[in-house]
This record gives sequence, structure tokens and C-alpha cells, in this order.
Amino acid sequence: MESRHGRKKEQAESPEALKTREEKETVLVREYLALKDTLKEIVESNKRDNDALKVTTALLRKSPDYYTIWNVRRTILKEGFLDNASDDETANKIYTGELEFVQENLKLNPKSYWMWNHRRWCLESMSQPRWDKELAMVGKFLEMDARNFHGWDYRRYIIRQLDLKDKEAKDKVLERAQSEFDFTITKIHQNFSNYSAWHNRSTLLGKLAEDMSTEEREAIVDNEFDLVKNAIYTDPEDQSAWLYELWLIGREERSISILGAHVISFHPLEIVVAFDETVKMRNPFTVSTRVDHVAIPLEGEWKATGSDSALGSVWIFQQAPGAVYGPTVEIVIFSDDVCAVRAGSKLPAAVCYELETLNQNLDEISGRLGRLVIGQNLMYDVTKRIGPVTGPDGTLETQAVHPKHRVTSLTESGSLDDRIALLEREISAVRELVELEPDCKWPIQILSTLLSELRKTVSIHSTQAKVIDDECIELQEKLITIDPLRQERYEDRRTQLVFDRETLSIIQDSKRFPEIEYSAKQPTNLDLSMRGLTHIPISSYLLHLHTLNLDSNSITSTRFLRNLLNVRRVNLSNNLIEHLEGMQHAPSLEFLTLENNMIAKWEDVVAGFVFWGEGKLARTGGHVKVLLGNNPVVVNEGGEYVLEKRWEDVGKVGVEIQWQSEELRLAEEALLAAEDETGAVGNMVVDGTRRVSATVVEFDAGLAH
Amino acid sequence: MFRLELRKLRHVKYVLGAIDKAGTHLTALDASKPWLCYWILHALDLLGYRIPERIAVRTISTLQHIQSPTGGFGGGPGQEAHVATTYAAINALAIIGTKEAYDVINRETLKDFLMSVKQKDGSFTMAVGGEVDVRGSYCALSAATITNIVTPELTANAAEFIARCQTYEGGLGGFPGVEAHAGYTFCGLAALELLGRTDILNLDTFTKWSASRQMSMEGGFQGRTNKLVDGCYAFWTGGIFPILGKMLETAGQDQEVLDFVYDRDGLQEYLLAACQSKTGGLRDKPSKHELKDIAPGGLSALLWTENYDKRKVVGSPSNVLEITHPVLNIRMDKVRKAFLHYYGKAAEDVIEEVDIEIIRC
Repeated sequence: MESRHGRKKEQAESPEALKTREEKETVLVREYLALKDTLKEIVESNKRDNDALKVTTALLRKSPDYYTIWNVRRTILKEGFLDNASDDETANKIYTGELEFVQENLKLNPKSYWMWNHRRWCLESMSQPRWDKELAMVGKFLEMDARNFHGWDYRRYIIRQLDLKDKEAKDKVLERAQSEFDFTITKIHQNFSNYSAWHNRSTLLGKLAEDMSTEEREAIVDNEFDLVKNAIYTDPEDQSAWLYELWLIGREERSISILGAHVISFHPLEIVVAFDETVKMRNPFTVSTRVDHVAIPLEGEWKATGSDSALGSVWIFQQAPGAVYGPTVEIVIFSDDVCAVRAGSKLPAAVCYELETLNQNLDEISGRLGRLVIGQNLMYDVTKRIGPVTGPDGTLETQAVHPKHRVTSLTESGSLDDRIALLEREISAVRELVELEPDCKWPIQILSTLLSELRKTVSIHSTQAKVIDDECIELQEKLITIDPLRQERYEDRRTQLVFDRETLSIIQDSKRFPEIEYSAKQPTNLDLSMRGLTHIPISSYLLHLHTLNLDSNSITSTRFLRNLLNVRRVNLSNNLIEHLEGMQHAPSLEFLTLENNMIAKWEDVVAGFVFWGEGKLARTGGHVKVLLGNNPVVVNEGGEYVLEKRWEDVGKVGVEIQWQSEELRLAEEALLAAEDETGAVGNMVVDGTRRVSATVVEFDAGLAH
Repeated sequence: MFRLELRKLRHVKYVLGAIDKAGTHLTALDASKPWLCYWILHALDLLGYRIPERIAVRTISTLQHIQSPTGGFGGGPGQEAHVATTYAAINALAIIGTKEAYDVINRETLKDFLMSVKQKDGSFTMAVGGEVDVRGSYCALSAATITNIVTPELTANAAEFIARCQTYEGGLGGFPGVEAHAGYTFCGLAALELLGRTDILNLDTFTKWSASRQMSMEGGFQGRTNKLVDGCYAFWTGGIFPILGKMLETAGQDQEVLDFVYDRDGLQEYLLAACQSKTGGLRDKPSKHELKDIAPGGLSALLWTENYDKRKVVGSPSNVLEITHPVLNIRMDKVRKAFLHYYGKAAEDVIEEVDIEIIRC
């Protein structure tokens, strides 16, 4: 009987039917339990005969993942049959029987680990395993389910076994790889969504190309690109071929760059080293001082800025109390000392910095180098010297190695021009597809990735880099409109691109291209307002800034402030910040504008400053004003009660609060006056928004004053 | 307005019913008894149902008989030890969380068993004579962590082996060279978290691969590139995100960024609307029969999406579940209790270390 929805109505089981079913089940369960009891006896009595074998057969049919029985079965086979087998033929017969048994059961349970395992045992134990038959067998399984990963894994296993046998016959191994390669194309032609086939193809291609000449490689790679093109023109929304294309193109390894090293203070000696991404310190960087031409380690401690001192992009060394240093101090960072947190990339070679400590007159140094002041302290670039450097084990680390360029995933090294030519060719091919399918997300994403790869091959200040950045930003904006479900992913990428573009004045190409470093002349102000930023991708870039304007973005966290050692004024109005953090290492901070954010609790403001007055860099003391107008906190909490409560909690840090800032009061007065004069109704626009009230909080470290 | 509701009572009834009424179709799980114990107890635990004394006593007695004389737990009485059932048995006992339950575990022989399946390259076989893959790494390390028997020999090369399983795509395969798969990816990642070595992975490709497993239409997850949605991957892939969240935060990302690595609402909706069976239990997709193993997995997954950084519960407020440990997958309070038992005074430090702060309420 069909219901309205075209589905069979579920009929309640009649009491009779239920009874019959239960009786049947009881019989089955009894049978099974009896078999298990027999098995127990077999194990205990060491029976190794045909009856014993039959019991395992019956049990494994019912419960194929009962791994203990597989192990018992192997023992029975080995001790009861195989050890006594008079010749190979008898043994092989037994194994063949096992293979048939497994095959028949595999059809019912193609994902049972233990069945595949038993099969391997048989074949590895046989004197004449018929691997060709195995290939045919697994081929059938992959016809039943082309994505069964057990099947694919088993297929690769068979090939590995055969290759081991033919270790000496390279041509046979290659021939086999070729035939497997052809098998993947059969599977891809059946259904090009089958990523398992593409994946296997990627593992085979490398093997095939191993001994090829450059021309042959080019030919085979061109063929692959054509194959991908066929697939993506058939269905540009299908991801398998795109992922394979990305694999073919390969990612150019990005190495870590050291942006610069500076002295913060001489007494005690404090040195800061900045990287272009978050790194993990594996070994402390070596700091030594020379006495009579002998390098003596200078005791001290390296710490990353911020709460997690084991990771960071800005690292500070502080000399141990009582340690003494001579006229020169040397800082050596070996390539193994750091690794990037995000992609595990490494420093290409050791870097050594040398610091002259004879002239410690800060005013004079400041005049000569025209560099950075932290509180009353100075920072300046120390001499940078590039290897060779003697490693801790006495070996010589060689000169910086220029990174090898991969043309495709198949080439370990090649010429940069070839890489560029390939990228340009693929870019123009994908562009054509983007024109045909303007609302398909995959070609746009791939285009953006290819452009980013191309950007890695050019100088960061080149016109081409700028053109690429602009286009990539546009592509992200397009992606946001056609694939809104992944909006945040694209916004994040867009933020990185915009940030890269807007901070170009801060960095320059290093002599060791493609590494980068701080520009010789650092800007002191940076305006990043209204750029749609969701976060600050690389805060170490901002180390030297005095003033930073981030008004009207979508930033959610102030953690990046931990690396702004030199900053005085930060405008973060009109963002999405809920609480303050990261101020520990921003001792020069004087004015923080946070109007129109999401700060709802007084604690979330104060928590950011609890350690501020205790930071090692805050010896000079400090006094910071925080503008909090138009945050929920102003409505939620307020008045003297909260103020008094907080005063106790913050401890040493002084807190001052006023309900309306002087600046805003003046601005409002001016607006009212203007309205009176013109008769029009105006909005007071300060940094893009209308403000009703403002709250200024002042924090006073109160140490030096 | 239609409101999505987690039908807790029905699920409890379904799970309790499963204890006494295992049909013949469960013969295939005869070598997975500790799993049945763990799944049932964990589901009850997550639903906030106090485990009845009767069931606790029965579980303890069952698992006592399942423990192998040579260490570890097998799939049933008289069966050889297996890493996965050892994991399940230890978790089940930890959920019961009484002295009698803890005392079942012979830690000395357990250590011997785990070392007997440990391979030189850092991998673990699932049982003596069994297959190698990262499930072994996770199960072995989880069992060893709870019972405080982690040694340098046990962890030697373990992280390096798992790192070799990361593919070009970014996810992890079962062993080096094979296609990335969400089940193995969770196991590998959770094992790395237990080893404190998640930094060994390429985070960028890992993040992208994990996020790409969510289906645009369904909100649920697939297990591999270009496969279909399946409720069980709500667990395997969903389980990646709390740990990934911590990794991203460590790498300098804002905590808030984590919220949009995947669509939590979408996944909760998929589980509540598409995977709940009328008669209790969860299933992988609406066309399929409910499966018990999916039940606690689905619940854990639901829970993870609820508790990821800030509580976020789709549908009825009563859908809130108890909080589970994102790596060991037993309730947080049960983890604490087990640690206090096995680590003694040192527990405070260990709890701080293992007590991942990502689950904040």
C-alpha cells in the first residue's frame, strides 16, 4: 500500500510475525554461540584440523571483523596444514582456497580491514603469488565502488610488491607505473569527479618522470594540463580536476625572512629581532660577546612578545642580571633555530648580526641613525652580515642558498623564466574560462592562486606585483558575491592582500631575494582606515610605527598591539572589538581610540592593561588615554561605582575616567554652532561616524612620574 | 514557528533499549563489544542521563572479562587485545568513573601491549598481526594518556609518522601516500594534540582542506574530496575544529576567526533536522536506517559545534548537551576525575596541560 508521499506505509508487526522472527533469531544466536564455544575448545586443545578450520570459516562468515578468529585461522592453517605440506603445489592450493574464501566475503564486506589483511598474508606467504590476478580482482572491486579506499590502497600495495620483486629491472617498474597511470585515466574517464583516481595519478606521475629528459617531462606535463582542461571545460564546478591542476602547478616554498634586528637598550642589553611571520623558536638564538677574539656566550633570555612566549614574530633578548659584554655583541640565528608555524617553512641560511657597543650615547646614536625611540630608549639597526657562520657543532653553514624554483610539481629545480612562462600560460587559459563562466567560483579561485604564485617570482615593489595585488583583491570581492557561504574565507584572503599592498613602504626586497627586510627609511604613520580589514596579518611589519589609523574596519582583536613596540597613537574606532589585549609590549602607547566598538564589560577594558605597567619595556612609566565612546560598556556600566571597583582591581595602574572627552565636546559645540549658523541639521562626523558621547579612560603606570 | 529539537528522551530510550535487545544483525559487532559499551555510555553521558548502577556494574564486569591476560582489551571475552577496543574500553570505564571501574585496568600489561604494537617508524598496528594506520596512533596515545603510562619509547617518532600522512591536499591519509580522509585526519590530529606536536603539520593547507569538507547545501560534512554528505563525518570532521581552533590561535589568529572556519549552525541544522530518527538514534543521512554507532558520534559532533569557543545552540534551548573533551571524547568532568585517579598529585599540572581551553562556556 502506497501512502500519499509515494512511500510504503510501515506496517506494525503482528504478534505472530514478531514471535516467528524472535524464534528465528534465537536459533541463529544459539548457532553462533555454539560455534564460539567450539572455537574456544579448539584454541584450548590446540586442534589444527579441518573441523577446526571449518568452525573459523563459519564464524568469519557471520562476523568478518572478528580479528582474533583470523589470527586463529592463520595458526591452524600454518601448523595444521602448511607446515606439513609436502610440496609447493599443496601449499599453493591451500592459499588459493583462502584467497577464494576472502574474495567471496569481500563482496559482502568490501571495507573489512581484516579480510584485506588476510589476503596480504596469503600472497606474501605463497611461493608463487599471482599478483596479476590480484590486480584484476581489485580492478573489479573498484568497478563496484570507484572510491573504496581499501581497494586503492590494496592496488598500490600490489604494485609495491611487484616493484620490489623487480628491483633490478627498472624498465619493468616503469612499465607498470605507466599501466597504472593508464588505469587512472580509465577511472577518470568513467567519472572525472573521482578524486581517488586523480590522487593516485599524482603519486604515479612523479615516478614516471623520474628519469625523463626535460623535453619528455614537458610533454607529459602538457598532456596533464590538457586532461585537466578537458575536465574543467566539461564541468567547471567539479573540484577534482582543479585540485589536480593546483598540484601540478605546485607551491613555491616561501622561506622565512628576518625583517631586522635592533637594540632597545644597553643597560640591561635588550635586542629585538623581527620575522615576517609567526615562528616557533626551536633553539635560543646565540648571543655572544668577543673578548680577545674569543666569542663568549652572553647569558640572557629570548622571549616572544605577547602572552605565549614560545611563538611570535617579534622576539626580545634580555641580558641576564650581572652578565657583562664587550665592545661587540654578535647575534647568530641558525636555519634550524626557527620554523614557521603556518607552513613549516624554514630560514634558508644562518644570519649573523654584529653590534658595536662602544658608543652608548643614545642621543648621538639617535642623531646618526635617525631611528627609533621607545619611551626614552633607542632602537637602531645593527650591522647585518650574512654567513658563512660556524654552527654549534663546528660545521660551517654555507652562504644563503638561492631557493630553487620549481617549474611544476615534477621539477625539483628549474629556471625562474620557465616557471613564469608556465604560470602565464595557465593564467591566460584560466582567464578564458572565467570569461565564459563569470559566476563559477573555482576558476576564479584558481586564477587568484596562480596570480599569487606569479607574484612570488617578482620584486615586491614592481609594477607587476601591484597589478597582481589589485586584481587578486578584485577576485576576492567577486568571490564574496558569488559564494557568500564562504564570505569570511575570502574576506580573510582579501585582508592579507590589502595589508600587503598598504604596507609596501615598510618593507623592501632583501639582497637575498625573495627574502624581504625593513626598508631603510621607515614611515612613522600609517593610515589603514576603511580598508575592510578583518585582522592584522603580520603585526611585526608595524613594529616601528608611531601612529596607526585603523578606523572603520572589521577588526575583532587587539592582540596585534603586542608587537607595536613603538606606537603612540592607535585609532581603532568603528571596528568589532569586544575586549582589549596585547598591550604588554606597547609601552609607548599614549592614546587609544576605541569608539563605536563592541566592548560591553568594564573588565574587558581593564584586563588589557593589567600587565601594561609591569612590562619590561615600560620602565619609563606611561599614561594612556582610551576613548570608549559609543560602546555598550558606556550604557551597561558607568558612574563612580564601577570606577572605584576597578581601581582596586587594577592595583598599581592609575585609572582616570571622564564621561565626555574634551575633543568631542569641542567638536559638538562646533557642530551646533554650524547648525545655528546655516539653519541645516548636520551630523557630526568624526572619523566617519556620528558620536553621541565619549568616555575617556586614562591608565597611568605611575612609575616614572 | 518550527523549532529544531534534539529529542533527548527518545534517544535515551533508544540507547537503553539497545543494551538488552541486540538483534542477530549485531553479530558482526561481536569483536567490538567495548565499542558498544563506550557508545552507549557516552551517549547517555552526553544526554545528561545518569548512568544506572545496574549498567555500570554490568559494564565493569563485562570489561573485566574482556581484558587480555597479555594486556589491553579485546573485542570480547577470550579475544586478543586490539588498540581500538582498548581505547573504547578505557573510555567506557572512565565514563563510569568509579574506583572499581579504574581498578579494572592493568596498567603494567597495558603498557606491554601498547609497546608490542608500536613500530619503529612511529606507527602502531591495530593488533598483533594487524594493519597499520593512524587510528592506532590515536587510540594508543589516548589510552596511555588517560592511564598515565606515556613513556618516551611509546611516543618516539609517533608525531613524525603522522606528519608523513599529510597529503598535498592538506588532510591526512591512514598512512603515508594514501588519499586524505576525515576519519584518519581526526585521529592523526588528536594524536598530535596529545603529543603536543600539532605544529608539525602544514597549517594552511590543513585548515583549507578541513573547511572544504562542509557541504554548501546540506551543512553536514563529507569525508573526502568530492564524496557525499554523511552524518558520521559530523563527528570526524567536526572533531577537527576545536583542535584546529587552538592551532590557529597559537599561530596568531584571533579566536573570533575560528568561528567562521566552518558553519556551526549549518552542521547543527543538518544533524537535528536530517539525522534524527523518529524512533530515536541518529543516522548518516535521511535515506538510511539509524545506526547506533552514529548516535554518540553525532551527539559529540553536535556538542562540539555548540561549545566551540562560545556556546551556540541551534533550535530549542533544551538541545544543550554536556561538555566533552575534544581529544579524548569523554565528558570533561570524567576526564578530570580519571586524571586525579591516575596521576595523583601531579594531576593538577596534567589537567592544566591536557585540559584544552577551547571549550569555554
